[in-house]
Amino acid sequence: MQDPAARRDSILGKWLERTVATYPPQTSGFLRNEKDRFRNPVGHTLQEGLAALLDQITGEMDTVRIREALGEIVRVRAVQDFTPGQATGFVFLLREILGEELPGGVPTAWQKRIDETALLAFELFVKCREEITEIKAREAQRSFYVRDRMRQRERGEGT
Amino acid sequence: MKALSSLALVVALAALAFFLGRVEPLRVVLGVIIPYVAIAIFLAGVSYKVIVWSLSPVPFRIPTSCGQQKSLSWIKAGWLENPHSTPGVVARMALEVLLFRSLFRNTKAELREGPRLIYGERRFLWLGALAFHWSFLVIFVRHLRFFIEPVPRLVMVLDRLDSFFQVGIPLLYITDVTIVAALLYLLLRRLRDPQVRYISLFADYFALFLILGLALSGVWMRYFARIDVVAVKQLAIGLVTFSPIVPREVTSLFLVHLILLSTLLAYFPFSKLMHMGGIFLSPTRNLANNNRRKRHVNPWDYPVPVHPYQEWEAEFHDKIAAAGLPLEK
Amino acid sequence: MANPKPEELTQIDYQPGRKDWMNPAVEFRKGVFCYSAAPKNLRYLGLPNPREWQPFDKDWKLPADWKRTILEGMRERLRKFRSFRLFMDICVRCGACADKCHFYIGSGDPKNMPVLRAELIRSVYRRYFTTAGRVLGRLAGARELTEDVLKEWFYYFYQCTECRRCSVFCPYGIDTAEVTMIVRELLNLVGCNINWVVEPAANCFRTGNHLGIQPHGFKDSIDFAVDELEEITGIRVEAPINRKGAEILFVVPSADYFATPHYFTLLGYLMLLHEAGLDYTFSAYASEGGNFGLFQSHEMMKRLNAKIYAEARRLGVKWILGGECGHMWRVIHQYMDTLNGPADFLEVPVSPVTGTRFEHARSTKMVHICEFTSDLIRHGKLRLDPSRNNRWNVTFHDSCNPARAMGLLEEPRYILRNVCKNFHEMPENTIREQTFCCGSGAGLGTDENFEMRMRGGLPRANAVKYVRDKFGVNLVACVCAIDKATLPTLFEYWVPGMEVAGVHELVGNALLMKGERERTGDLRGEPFQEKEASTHA
Repeated sequence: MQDPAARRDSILGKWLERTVATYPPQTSGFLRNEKDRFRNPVGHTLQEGLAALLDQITGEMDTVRIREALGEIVRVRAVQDFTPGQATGFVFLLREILGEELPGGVPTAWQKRIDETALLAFELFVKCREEITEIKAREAQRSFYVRDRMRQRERGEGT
Repeated sequence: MKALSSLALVVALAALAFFLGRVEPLRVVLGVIIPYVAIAIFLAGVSYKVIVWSLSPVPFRIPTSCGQQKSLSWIKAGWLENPHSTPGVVARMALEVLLFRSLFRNTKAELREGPRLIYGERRFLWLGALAFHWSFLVIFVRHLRFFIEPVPRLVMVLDRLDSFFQVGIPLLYITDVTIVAALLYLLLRRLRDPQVRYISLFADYFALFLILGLALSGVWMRYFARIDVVAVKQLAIGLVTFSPIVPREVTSLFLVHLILLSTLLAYFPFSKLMHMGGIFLSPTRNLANNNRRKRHVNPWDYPVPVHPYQEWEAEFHDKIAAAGLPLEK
Repeated sequence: MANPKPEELTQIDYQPGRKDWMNPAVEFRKGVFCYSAAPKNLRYLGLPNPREWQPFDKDWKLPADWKRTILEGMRERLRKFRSFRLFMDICVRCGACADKCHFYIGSGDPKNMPVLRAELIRSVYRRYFTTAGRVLGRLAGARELTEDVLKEWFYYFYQCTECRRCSVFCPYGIDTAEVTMIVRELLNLVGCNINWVVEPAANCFRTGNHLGIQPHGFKDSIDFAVDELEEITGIRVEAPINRKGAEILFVVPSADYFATPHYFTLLGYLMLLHEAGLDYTFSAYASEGGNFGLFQSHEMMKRLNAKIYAEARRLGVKWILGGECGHMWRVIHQYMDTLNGPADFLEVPVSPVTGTRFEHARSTKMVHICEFTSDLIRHGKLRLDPSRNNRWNVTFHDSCNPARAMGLLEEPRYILRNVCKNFHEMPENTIREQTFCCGSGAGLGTDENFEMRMRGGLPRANAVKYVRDKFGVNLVACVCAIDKATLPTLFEYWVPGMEVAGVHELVGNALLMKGERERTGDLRGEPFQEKEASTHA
């Protein structure tokens, strides 16, 4: 296998750049350049997350780490103006960037890993959307907490 | 596109002045009539705007509080960031007007990562704005030496300070460098930062190019063209004493400078440049946060339909009674 | 990207192609806007153009002369509000505010930059109210008022939570909240409003509170809290309602007696007021401290707010105490006295326990409960056992209005330091005057607007997550009813496991009441952890 370590920064830079390019052009610069993590949570999540993903896909392929990093990114994109495909499609960008950066081509193992990661991204996306439905239901419940408690008590269910 | 067209407009203005300035009968128009008209528009326009602003009421007291309120005696109140009295407001306004306090706040960031340069950009906006405005003020005051005879001490002192480094002949003014540098920075920022470029209008570029043109023509006259200062002073004093003349020694180049200035003056009241006057009137900054201590009166207050207690009690009378709550009737 | 592969083709589509902001283009996607106000609510309040419609409809059923109405409304407000006129005139588009808006940070939509949000109406102002705009049109940054522009206003001005963060950074103090308030007034003139604002307002006008709880329901809720408190503490507190001759009228946001975690804050108040021996009363008529009129128009704000002084006068109290609520305190601190004062029938508030005269409230005559409580603690009038809050590791979220429209920063912190042992601040540029909004204020906290709320709340949640990871924080304390309703939701999505509580819930946990039974658990019924004898007076 080739040593991607030397090209890591360049690969990561491209991946980040092309991912933030899915945001309005007026904003992508801000997402890429603002380094303060509290001012720029979206950019920060992308920077950290993509780096972790790259290291895993070209390295250990630790599924826990992958899931974690991917989850953070997908969670953000699941509530932004994206279709499911757009929200998760950033994973595939890596294949084309690796193709450009590695003269020997992308190893088949990595290609497979990218496919798996993309699939996982889609799964996590769906999970986020399901969570949203549940969270909404719980929010509604909280807003009638006292009424519900009073009814419970009337029925003698105690606390 | 917006930037190019506003640049073109400024260049066209300058070129027009340059060529018309060579036509003898038009020199009076460029050197006397247009400046007078421009000053008249400036004075009338600015006073009109400021009068309209100050006559428009401030119905509510809405300061933005940027610090601890004055409440309990043992809690230290942020007298400057959240002033509760007039001295505090004056100090807050002074910081805003003289040092651009709020813009400086932009730079305060903690736990930043990565290269410092990006963080630095924010400080540059404050620095660039400050450099530009202060240089402009100093240059304006320096120019009084053309209009007043004998030249006031203050102006001479400022002049000497500004050429402190004693470089070149004629002596290089520091503010000439800083204003051009600051303007170029502000312009570059507008063009390069995608966020700022997106919000920029034609007018934003026009103001920058106009002032840049004004500054560059001044620089050119002083350091390169070395124009006849005595003649310029004759013209300037003629203007202020209402006995205008355009001496033969006054070159076309000077008329370019004068026309750009006239354009700026005439344009001023209709543009965002009015922020100079507006900042003093901003109700989120120039009011004390003593809202609960001192009543603020709304001059156009009017009665509104309300739901009085009696109607409320009448509507829910039986339920109130059943709940055992006290009733008026 | 040379030689695009199939997946790259789809990628290219992702690039949003908005070029010039002046062309209005709004798509009402589910999840990012609020539903329209139901006609019955508009009718009840006597507001214009009640009808069935939704923002995603093509035809908004505007009145025939809507354009004239809007422009006349603008003219009138330019005359009445110096803030509006000035903010239309003096912006230099320096961009200092651009990345200060939580909606911009979380969504990336450039029209969420405060400067551009304001330009949406500024461009119309230029077209109809300035010479340059009339003559030069687009060149001067002016544009026609069209139905699309109106739709864009609706979209973006119901996407501003009036949090005032941008105004902290603006070199001229331009406050987008002020612009938003005016534009919402204009939209109201032609009947373009949202139900989540108008329905609470209609409820409040009729019953006295946003939730529409009638007097007997209000009494039941309070009685229920008194009963529960007796079970927890063994003490039966008094919680009178509409009692004439009380010294103090106590006004709280209605969520405090209806929703969770607000309810535990209510329990905290009841314990505190009992322990302080305060002679007070609730009111069923003025049973709402909050004021959704603020999110609609100055007039509606005044109509709803009128009840508080009217009730204080009727009951003959000396002064008014107010509970934990953000926008309620913006109205009380910056508007109430002007709207419905002078309160010359009341007395300057004096704490009957400590004798402290609340001079800072000498005109409005209303005191924030955090001011009241911190004064009690300072004078050693409360016995507190902070170890009872040991299961919490606390941070404090400054709510927008108490922070930026009042400056209530230290009082809640002082209380927290006295009632709990573990307290950690979030990073400096996310608290106090730079605090990030919950993303659901100003009437936007509806579930149909869920995605937008999650975007807007991301900066806040992100800082909370940081202190969770760094210090093990597990509770966000706050003094705002909207926060209590929406932050738990926000954290469920972004920072799972993070809880939210009112400051006075923690006071209630720590408070040692005279004659209380041996307590084993906190107000939520959870057992105390590591109980130590670290009581201090």
